[in-house]
This record gives sequence, C-alpha cells and structure tokens, in this order.
Amino acid sequence: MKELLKIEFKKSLKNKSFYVSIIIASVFTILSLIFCINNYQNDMRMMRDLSRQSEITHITYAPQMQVDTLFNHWVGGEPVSLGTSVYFFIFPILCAIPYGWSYCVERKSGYTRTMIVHSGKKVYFLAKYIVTFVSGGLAMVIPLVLNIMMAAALFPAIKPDVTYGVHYAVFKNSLMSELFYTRPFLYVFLYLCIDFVFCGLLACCSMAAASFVRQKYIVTLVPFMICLALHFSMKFTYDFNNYYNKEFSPFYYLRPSSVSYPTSFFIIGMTAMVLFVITFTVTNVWEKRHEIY
Amino acid sequence: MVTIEVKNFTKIIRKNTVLENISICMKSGTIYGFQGINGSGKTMLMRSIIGLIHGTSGSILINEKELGKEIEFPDSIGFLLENPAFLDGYSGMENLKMLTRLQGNLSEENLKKLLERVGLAGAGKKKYKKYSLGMKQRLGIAAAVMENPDILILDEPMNALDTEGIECVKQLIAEQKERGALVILSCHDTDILIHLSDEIFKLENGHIKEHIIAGGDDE
Amino acid sequence: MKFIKNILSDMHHGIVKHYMLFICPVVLATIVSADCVKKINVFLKFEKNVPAENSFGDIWFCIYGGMEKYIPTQDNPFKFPVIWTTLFVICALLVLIYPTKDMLGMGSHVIVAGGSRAKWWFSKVIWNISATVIYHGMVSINIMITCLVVGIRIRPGLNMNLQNSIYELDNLNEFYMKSTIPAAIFILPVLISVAMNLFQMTLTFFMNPNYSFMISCFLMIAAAYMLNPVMIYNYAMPLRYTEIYSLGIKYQYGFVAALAIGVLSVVIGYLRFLKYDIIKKEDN
Repeated sequence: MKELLKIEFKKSLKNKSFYVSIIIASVFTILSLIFCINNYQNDMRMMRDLSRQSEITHITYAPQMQVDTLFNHWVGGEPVSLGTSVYFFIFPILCAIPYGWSYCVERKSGYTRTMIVHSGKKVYFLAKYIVTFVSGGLAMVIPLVLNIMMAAALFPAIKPDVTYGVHYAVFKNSLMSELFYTRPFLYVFLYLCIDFVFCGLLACCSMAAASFVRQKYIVTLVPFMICLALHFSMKFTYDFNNYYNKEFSPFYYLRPSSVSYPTSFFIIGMTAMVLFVITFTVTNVWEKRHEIY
Repeated sequence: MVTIEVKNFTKIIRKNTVLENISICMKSGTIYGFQGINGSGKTMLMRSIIGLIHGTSGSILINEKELGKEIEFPDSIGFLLENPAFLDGYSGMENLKMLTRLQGNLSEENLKKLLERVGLAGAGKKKYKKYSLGMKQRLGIAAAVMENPDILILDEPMNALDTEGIECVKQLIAEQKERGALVILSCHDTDILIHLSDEIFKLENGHIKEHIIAGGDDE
Repeated sequence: MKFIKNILSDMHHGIVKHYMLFICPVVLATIVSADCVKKINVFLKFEKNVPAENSFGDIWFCIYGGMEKYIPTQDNPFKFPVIWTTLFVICALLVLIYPTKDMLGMGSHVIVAGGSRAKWWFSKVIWNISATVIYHGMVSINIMITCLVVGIRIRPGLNMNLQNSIYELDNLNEFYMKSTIPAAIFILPVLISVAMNLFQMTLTFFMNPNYSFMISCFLMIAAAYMLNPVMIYNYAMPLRYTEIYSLGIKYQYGFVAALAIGVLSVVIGYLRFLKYDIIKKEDN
C-alpha cells in the first residue's frame, strides 16, 4: 500500500496538469489581488484627502483602517472582483484536472490490470481514491494560500471590527462569524480545510464517474456539472424572501465571504457526506466487485 | 513449484458462452501453448487464470487455493495480455521502475540489463508515447518477466516484432522454462507454438478441442 | 458526394444519437418555464394596478434575459445569472467533445476515407451550427408548448413590470417600458451561442477541450460581470440591449460580432486542421 501510494502521489503531483491547474487558478487570484490593491489605494487616497481637511472632517490618516484589512482583501475574503467570481465558478474543473481523469485513462488503456494484479484491488482503489482526493484538495487550496500570502505582504492584518461588518461580507448569521471577528487567521485556516475536503471529494466524483463514462474530458467536467446542478436547483427550491434559507450552492458556500445566503455546517457536511458515500461506494465497493477486462 | 488446476470452468457473458467446461492441469517448468482462431477463448482463459474475471461455474486452483475465493490473484505472476499498457507520459525505464516497486524492487542496473535483453537498450529514457508498436511489445514482455514470476502468461507476444525480436522472445521464454516457471503462451504462428510448447491446447468456441503433448499422442 | 456523406454521418452520430442534446434543453426549459408561469400567476395576483398582459416573449426573456448591469460595491457581491449561465454552459458542454472524439481512434479512418481535411472540418462546422440551433430551438419549442398549455399568447411581447418582479431590477427607471421587442432580439443570443461554440471548437485544436471549455466559462462570467461591447456574451443578454436598457449595448453590433467571430473561428480552425498531426490513437 505504501509503495503504491508513493507511486500514485508522484504521478499526481509531479504532472503537468497539476501545475497548469495551479497556474490558471493563480492567474485569477492575482486578478482579484489587483482589484483589491486598487480598492485599497483608492481608500487610502480618499483618507489622505479627508485628513487634509481634518478640522472639518475630524479624520486622521492612518493606513491601519479596520475597513481595509487583509481578511477582506484576499480572493476568499472579497466577493466583488472578476477574479474571485471566475475562480469560484471554475474551481470544480480546476480540482479535477490534476488527477480526476487518471482512473478513466488507466482503465481504458488496460493499465489498471497490471496495477491490480500486482497490488490487489482493494489497495489499488483505495490508493487511487486517496491520491485523487488529496490532489483535488491541493489544487483548490494552494492558489488560495499563495494568494493570502501575497495579500499579507500588501495589506495590514488588522483584526476585523464588527462595526464594519458590511465591508467584510461576514455577518452575524454567517458561518463561524464569531471566529472571524476574534481569530480571523483561524477562520481562514478552517475555511481552507473545508475547501480542501470538499474539492477533494469533487475530484473523487471524477474517479467515480469513470465507472460509467469512458471519455476522459467528460469525466473531468463531472464535478462542475454537479456544482452547477446544485446551484441551479437552489434557484427553484428556495423562496427568496425566507430569512432562514441557507446557502446550498458550492459556488458560494466554499467562499469565506458571504455572497447570497448564510452558510451552514449542516449543509456543507451533508453534501460532503453524500459525495463521500457515493464516490467511495462506487469506486471502492461497486467497481471493486467488477471484473477487469 | 506451482500447479494450476482449471476444473470444469465455464464463463457466460450476456448469454454468450465464452468458455465451456474447461479442465486443465498445469505444472511448473512447462510451456503450455493455447491455440485457436480469433474468438475461440484463449485470452478469456488467460484472464481467468490471472484472476481478472470470475467464472460462471467451475473453479481455478493455484497451488490448491481457489482463485477468487481463497486468493484474489496468484502470488507470483507476470503477464502480457492483449496490448501492452503503460503510462504515456513516462519513459520505459520509469514505467518499469513503478511496477517493480510494487513487488520486488529491482535495481536500476537490473532494469537496464532487462531492457537490453529485450532489445530496448537505448530506449529506456524515451517516453512511452514515442515508442513504436514493436518497442511497446518488447517493454510489455520485459514487464512480464522482470520479477522472475512463477507463472508467466504471454498473449501473442510475437505481435509486431521483427525477426530478431521474435528470436529474442523465444530465447527468453525458453530461459523462463529452464528457471522453472509455468509458462502459458498463445500465438497464431503454429510453427513457433509447436517449437516452444511442451503441451498445446487447441480451443474452439470456448472449449478444448484437442490436447497435444509434444512428442506424445493426441488426447 | 463524400462531403454530403460526411455531413450525414456527423448529423447521425453527433445529433440523432446524441440524446442529451434533446433531453437537456427540454428539461431546462420545462423547469424554468414552469417557474416563470408560477411567477406570472403571483404577479397577476398581487400587481393589480399595472398592465398584466403576458406573452411568449416574457417566458423567453425569463430564460435568455441574463442580468442587469453589475456595479461592484462592497455591499453588492457578484452573483452570476444562474438560468442564463446554465443555458449557455450546457450548450457549450454538449458540443465540446464530439469533434475531438471523432478525430481519434475510429475517426481517423473517417478522415482518410473522406479524402479531404477541408470536408471533415466544414462538416464539423455544419454539425456544430446545427447542434447549437437545435438546442436553442428545443428551448423555444418548449416555451411555446408551455404557452399553449397555460394559455399565454405567442407573440414577441414584453411586460417590464413582470420582468422587474422576476429579476428584481435595481434601477428600473433606466429600463424602457416596452410592450413588444423586435424579432431580431430572439435570434441574436442563438447566433452568439453558435459563434462562441465554433470558437470553442477551434480552440480544441490548440488545447485540451477542458481548457477551451474553461475559456468559454470565463467569457460568460466576464460578460455577466462587465457590461462592455467587447465582451461578446453581452450580446446574448437581451436585458442589456439599448432597446430595453438605456445604458446598454446596441444589439445590432452583436450580429456583426457573431458573424466575425464565427467566420474567424472557421477560417482559423480550417488553417490549423490542415497542418494538424493526428497522432493520438485514443483520447488518453
């Protein structure tokens, strides 16, 4: 098992698709960063102008304004820029591109035969599942981490103030909002963990889809189709005036900042659980029982 | 010492009987040839012995352990089934390294010698997707024999090989027999099959039509 | 003769046997039309003092409308237009794989038997255009059937008060209170879809189909984000035409843009395919 995991990890993380996915994601996160830099500079300019008339405005210029902090100037913290909007739309494709297609390709070429005979079905499918999960999670999280590190070099990491809640898009009924206003780094870290797990499971959906679909390109797009279906269904199941609605679309609830409805652990957890049960059952139980031609 | 016993093995796929009541006994140090026209069931029988498919009825015993029940796959087996299957983005050497790590962990030196043995001396570093069909076949054979398996199954190993390649493979198979491996081989060239095999099973429509022992009478 | 055979083969394998091309638009249009009819009934029930005439155009607008101009502010997160995006994304997805698949494996025999790369390519172009038109045609037919069932008039009318209640427009005063819309507006989103699907197909000669699909998605989201005549998908959002929105874009330019992109894609694709090495056996 250990050897097979090493081989699979090497195949998944040292492959061109993984790097391409990270680069594409980074391009959009940088786009968001440029937007945030512009905003921040505009705000600072405005503050400086206002502070020049401090006798009237009573405003003193200070770059450490709680309104403009690292935590609402990174790709996950602001829901307004084009970069963020595109990134959180195409992320299901980006997390499947590194390794989601590998089972489909190996199955079609007959490579699975060799691997299964030498390592056993259980070990092969489990190793493949684990590696696909990890590669999908990393493909999502690495660009986010790179973005927040770059943002941390440019914006002050001021603890958010609840007075300026509307500027952070984190409200009282948002997920882990108390943590955001008390321990914002922990908030970001936990959200990265949620994103890692969820996107890992989305990548595993590609692996599971390979049991039914023979086309590598279609299999890579399955996670995107699942997210789009969930988002589309939300439009027709929710009464928009209901205060108690919770965010149901992965396009929105994987973002640390609120876009539409407040996020709920229950919905994220349930969706993740369903994805895990289905993907694990299909790959490690159902597919394992099949004969290999 | 390895024995393979196929007992009344039948396989039906979607109402088609691909193998019917096959009964064979095989032992180490012998080369068994499977002969038959396309679709006679040779490859299916090989797949069954490897453990890739399970029979509708009957059983296959490897050293008296039932395949699919007591063991999933034979412990020590090398095979080349239909087309060779490797990873396009890696070189021949890298592909072999990945496979050997799962079983025996042969050194790079040994793998280089193996590649030379099958006639791929200078091609180890070339990406698999750039290999010609013959080169792919040679790499497949190298992967099958590299761990000196107790059971060696080769389905049409001479496909796409030039005269030199065929001679090389013939020698390799003979060496495997000398070593004590149980070799199962299929080939459309009757002369090669007769030359190499100690026993030949002729398959037709999924059952054994004839069993020829080299130098002996037909059964 | 061989060219006709190529086309017929593509029509058979790429359209007739491609069940999803028929199922997806029907399912999508049925769900959205049903929801729109429900909203119309609610509107008629509560809005007694405004003109209440509804038509095919209203339901069509529900699906194809898009979104109003987005103004990025801290308290206004960007939410992409779900129905519009789903409609065009699914269309792009359904026509993504067939050309690549048809070039590999068995398809390489077809190219050789056809005798000419140009014939293969132009046959694919015709297939792409037909598939896109059929997809949007299925949507429109579904809307018409909904109108007939529910008793809504089939005419190119538009009730902006109804659309306001559906889209929750922020700046209603910037919209014209139209009662009918030009027939050309019903055609333009389809033409844009055709042009962009041809563009996507051409891109698959330069990159992996997944990346070309991502580019299509990016262009859709970017157009929804920015009201700009350069962002081509804006011409597929009737809610942003100057006929309806005073600060919008002229839809007439959309026809020119669609034609330009379509023709360019076909020409570039043709030139690329002439030199393209068909080496891969299967899509591994």
